[in-house]
Amino acid sequence: MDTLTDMITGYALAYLIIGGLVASIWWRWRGLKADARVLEQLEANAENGLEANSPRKSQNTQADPAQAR
Amino acid sequence: MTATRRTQLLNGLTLGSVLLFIVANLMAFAYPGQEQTMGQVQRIFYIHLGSFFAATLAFIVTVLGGIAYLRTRNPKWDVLAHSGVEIGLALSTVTTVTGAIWAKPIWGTYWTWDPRLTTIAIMWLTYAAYLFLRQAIDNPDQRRRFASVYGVLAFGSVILTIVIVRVRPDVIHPTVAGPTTSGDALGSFNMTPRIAQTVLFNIFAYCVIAVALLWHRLRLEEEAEALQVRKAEALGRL
Repeated sequence: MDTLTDMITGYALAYLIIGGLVASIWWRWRGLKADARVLEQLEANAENGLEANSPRKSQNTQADPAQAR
Repeated sequence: MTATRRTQLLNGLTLGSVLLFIVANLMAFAYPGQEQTMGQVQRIFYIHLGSFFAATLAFIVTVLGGIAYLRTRNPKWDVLAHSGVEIGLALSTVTTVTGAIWAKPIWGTYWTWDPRLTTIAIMWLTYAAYLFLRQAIDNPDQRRRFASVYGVLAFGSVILTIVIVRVRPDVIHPTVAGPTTSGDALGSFNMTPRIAQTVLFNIFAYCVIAVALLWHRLRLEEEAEALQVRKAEALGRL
């Protein structure tokens, strides 16, 4: 019985699922590291008295037009 | 244990898992030879069985994490239980998908409502529901309590999946190892020593991979919690 294609399909799908799981963990890890870097930057800005230029401050100003006025 | 030591151990385990994964697959393709009736597709059994055992291990971790949380109310056990479900669900998806691919040339269909297939579908849905139901509860304590009890009870579906081929006489799913009551199994094969060695090695390899994935998933959660604390502290200072 020639079932080579079925075997390849099975293994390919299995690798895809396992790869997806690994990628999902890695992606979330990367996101956390990026968040940590932003936080460090914000903390450094705050320490240097540059709060006014921090991304959070400017985002808040844009998000609330009433406050901006 | 220091954080550096833990990272070193995790790196070692990760490397070991990658090597085991490569060796297990090479072994599956080259070591046992080709099965005469089914041909190459029989090799799917190695990943099918390996992923099922690894998923079972992950679900056992969920049970242990759930019991430990209910006894101690320490959130870290809930994180462990949650990680077990995530990893176990992905691995049982591998089991189900590879089983369906194998079934097509052997049974003539990807899926049939055979008792074993029905119980694995119930098992998969039970654990998928765990993840969705967690999201539905806002109160963290209530969520952890509910998830712990659910995670322990859900293991009944795993036991049912394992036992069903050994008690129902009408299953067509083959029993690779151990006693069976079914005379209708389609796709059974004799376990030659090489096949048995490859099956056992693959089960071992996928169980180690599951442990490594669980550890990475735990570390992810620890990092997320640490970041939340830092964010709260930073917001308090601003």
